[in-house]
Amino acid sequence: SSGINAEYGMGMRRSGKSSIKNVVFHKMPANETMFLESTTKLQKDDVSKNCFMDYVVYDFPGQVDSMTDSAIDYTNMFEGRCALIYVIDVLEDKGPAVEKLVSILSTLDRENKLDNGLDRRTAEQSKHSANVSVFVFIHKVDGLPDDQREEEQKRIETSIRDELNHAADITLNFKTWLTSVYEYSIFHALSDVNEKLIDHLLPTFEDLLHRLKITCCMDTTLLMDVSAKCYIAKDNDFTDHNKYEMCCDMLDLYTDIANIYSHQPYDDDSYSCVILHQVTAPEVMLTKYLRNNLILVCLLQESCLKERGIINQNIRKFSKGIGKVLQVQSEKPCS
Amino acid sequence: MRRRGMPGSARNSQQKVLLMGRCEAGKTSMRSIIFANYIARDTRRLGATIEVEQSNVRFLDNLVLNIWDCGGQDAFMETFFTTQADILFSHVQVLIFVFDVQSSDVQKDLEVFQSCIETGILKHSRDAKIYCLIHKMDLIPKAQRDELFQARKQELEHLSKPLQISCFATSIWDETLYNAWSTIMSLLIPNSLILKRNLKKFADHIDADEVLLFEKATFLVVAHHMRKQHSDPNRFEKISNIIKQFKLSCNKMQSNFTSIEIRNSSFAAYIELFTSNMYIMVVTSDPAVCSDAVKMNINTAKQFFKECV
Repeated sequence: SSGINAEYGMGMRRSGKSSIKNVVFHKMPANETMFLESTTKLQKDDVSKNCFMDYVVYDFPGQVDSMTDSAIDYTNMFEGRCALIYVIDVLEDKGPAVEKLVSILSTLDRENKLDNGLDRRTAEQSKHSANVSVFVFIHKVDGLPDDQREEEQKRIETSIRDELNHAADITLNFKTWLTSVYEYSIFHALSDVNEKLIDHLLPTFEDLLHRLKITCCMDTTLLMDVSAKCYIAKDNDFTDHNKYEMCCDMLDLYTDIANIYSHQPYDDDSYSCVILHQVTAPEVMLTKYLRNNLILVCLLQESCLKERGIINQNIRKFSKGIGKVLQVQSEKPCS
Repeated sequence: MRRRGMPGSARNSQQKVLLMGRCEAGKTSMRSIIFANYIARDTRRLGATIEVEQSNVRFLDNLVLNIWDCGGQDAFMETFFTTQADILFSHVQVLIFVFDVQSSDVQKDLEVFQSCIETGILKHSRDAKIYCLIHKMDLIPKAQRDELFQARKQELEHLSKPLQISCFATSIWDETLYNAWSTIMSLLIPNSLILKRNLKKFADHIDADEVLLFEKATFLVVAHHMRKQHSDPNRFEKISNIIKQFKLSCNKMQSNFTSIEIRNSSFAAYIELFTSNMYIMVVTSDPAVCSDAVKMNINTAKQFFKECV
């Protein structure tokens, strides 16, 4: 992995930033997050040991006025391509949360750092400008009935846009996600953040995935981060979110069993194959560990398994391709 | 050679299981998770059990559990030990009594348990196997769990003299629930000795590190044979829990798995649908053992096992 692809978690006290970090990166079961104590000081957590991306999660204590507190050193933050993830607790009063977000964004805007996100695949941007993508996670939605969720989302979006316009004269393209650590939504949301952070590599990854899919007659191909279970890239036609969730569960199954029978769950020979019977034809989920904590997940029909030799060969070539892309990437000066 | 029926075992064994405990101890949640495919979060929706809920659960081919889930509200419990005692407590093979570890009235819990033993079991089913589950242990900080469990266990053993009891610490949020129920179930299976013997033969034949047999719907371990030492004695219930969660995830998409192969450079595990009501799991760490050979051997063994269960 290369460069600093950092994600900064900010939000009010007890909005859920630490829960997210623990559930996604530290494999904490969601029901144990109730016992997490409030974060009282700025905690920098480099969780990237097992991840493809260099994740650095800054867990700000909610009660500090983050951007003006002189005790916290901001000089190294928000450099390079990065993402600001602002977590809002949907069950609490949103007023103060929105206010704080706007004050953070105006500081960033003054330094010309806000990425307006209008064009996802623009050419490389220089280190010091327009490099921060903004995401808002509307969190703890498991506490809201289904029919109220979309409404809340719209309401919060409008409120943020209005406040930005009114108080700081900023128009910004930011993305909101409804999330909860008790659901898969948090993984979908973080996958989206990931895709944004590597959007310079994305076309190449997607192209490689697509070619593999076509040559092996597969239904779907995905590149996932082995530890965070987010997808880094997917083939062009992938739309079935339920299948993605089953892939997450498949990775959990693999990791849990491999942890029982070996010391190091993922190595160069890591492989798994699940045959599923369903209403339609039997389907196969194949996973193969590639490199740099990346895993390839393929969904295909059982009948295609006959050509296992060709499939293995193509996966090997695919893996080499990914390796080359990453090598070129790491040789670049800075991006 | 076809074997007709195993000597000394009922072709269809009915076992009456009483599930008791005070209100909100967690009896129905447990039952739903083990037998009715609930996940832990779904149990929030369960209401209080009214009087007694009876359900019949088929387990493997020749065991039917007749589960009596007895409502825990004090009003019901009064009648259980008086007017209904006869009906409730006769011909009981297994009594499972559930205690909420965070109960506000531990003394009352113990009194009810004692009534159960004295007016129920001792009078009507002296030979019943008794299991006490100290439940909701996830709410206790890890450091205090063992001490608390041992203290409760001693009290219960004292109260139930002269009868023997077995105690378990359980929670619906981890594998301890599977440990308790696997133990309870495997002692109820009519021909478990034969199953174990055949499993050993199979494991030796194919050079496996260990072989496990699971019941298909609950994924409780019904038999296992270990040929190679392993550091984690709790791995069986962990595996039950892990695979069950994956099964539920597949069920959400209206599908079910028939075969899982997981490998890395140190081991390979194969989980296959084995008979109409069992799954088998074979673990090998010998790189010389070829994957296709293992699958072929499993296939061949299926026919043999079908005839002896």
